[in-house]
Amino acid sequence: MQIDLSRFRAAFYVEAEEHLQHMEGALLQLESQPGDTELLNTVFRAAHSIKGASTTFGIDEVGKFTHVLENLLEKARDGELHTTPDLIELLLTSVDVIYGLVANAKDGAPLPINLAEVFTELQRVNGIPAEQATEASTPANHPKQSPNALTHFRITLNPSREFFHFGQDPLLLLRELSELSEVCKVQLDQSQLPSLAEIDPELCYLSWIVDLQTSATEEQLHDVFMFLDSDSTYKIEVTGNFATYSCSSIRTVPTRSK
Amino acid sequence: MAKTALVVDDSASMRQMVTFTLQSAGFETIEGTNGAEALKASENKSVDLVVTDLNMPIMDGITLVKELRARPAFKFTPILLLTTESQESKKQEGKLAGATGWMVKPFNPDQLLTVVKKVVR
Repeated sequence: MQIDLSRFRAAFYVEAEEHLQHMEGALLQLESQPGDTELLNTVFRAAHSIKGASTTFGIDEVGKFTHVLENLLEKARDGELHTTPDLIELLLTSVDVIYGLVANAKDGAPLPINLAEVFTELQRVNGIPAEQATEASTPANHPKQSPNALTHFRITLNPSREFFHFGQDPLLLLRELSELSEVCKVQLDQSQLPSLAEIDPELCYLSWIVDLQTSATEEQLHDVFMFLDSDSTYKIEVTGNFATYSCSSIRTVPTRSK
Repeated sequence: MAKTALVVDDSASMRQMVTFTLQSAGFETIEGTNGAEALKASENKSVDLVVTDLNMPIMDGITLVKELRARPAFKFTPILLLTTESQESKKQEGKLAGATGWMVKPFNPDQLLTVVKKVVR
């Protein structure tokens, strides 16, 4: 789906200004009430919102600067940094810098002349070496696992009894697996299913064993289960590769145990 | 019948992006700027998906998840949290509260729809 994210920037500019005003007001109050948790929370929440939206809409300069500011505010909020007059001064200057960065993104105004100086100072107070901060603001570059040749996997899925109470649905997991692979065989384990009189229809008593062949990586298969609740379990085992046997050779009609 | 999504975020731009994306995918949307507003807006409504921010004034996302799960109509509804990478502990807190999954900011419309597909039939 092609959606031009720039269409949402106008709303961002308006709300960024509101957040900056809230930050400024709360910081001025902090001068007479240092350490006030609610005021610090207000400043943190505003910075957090600006960072989240600016990075989403690709306003990178704002996102990068606010990311470091947010880390510092988190430390102040958690009591790791004291809200000294010097720190409040730095935070107020940072707010001015963000005003300037937003104006730059919105109207092409020149970048704030003290941008680099304030950014370096935020990093210093934050205890982050400059090069590390730069790394932190760029997405992690995970080495990519090269796609496997067709591999056979056996996946055992044991949902928790409370599975449905997390908004989970086993059918969606099975469907996602089938989109990633050719599912050879699905075995339903209904051994834990109580008698009809004892069934609680809101609980999950079933588990599955899925044999499949796929060119997807094991990591991609793990991603299917990324939202499982902590009481649910799953296991992914490599059972062979396509060279040793093919899906069609083991396709059988699933049997139902009584 | 179109599915309905409840979108909750105090950021107007993020809310616009999420609702626009979900509407483009065929959802009808209900909006709230914080948890309390969302609870009110979704009263007596049939909702198929909730997408909520974590950090919001008045009522945050975790409290909203707990409040929604206490309502019979939301017992099994998929709930996605919008979070940032710095909030791993919040992610776990959200799961314990009953959230289904999460979406890490920044994200684009396609990434949002990929995750929605994981939790909505």
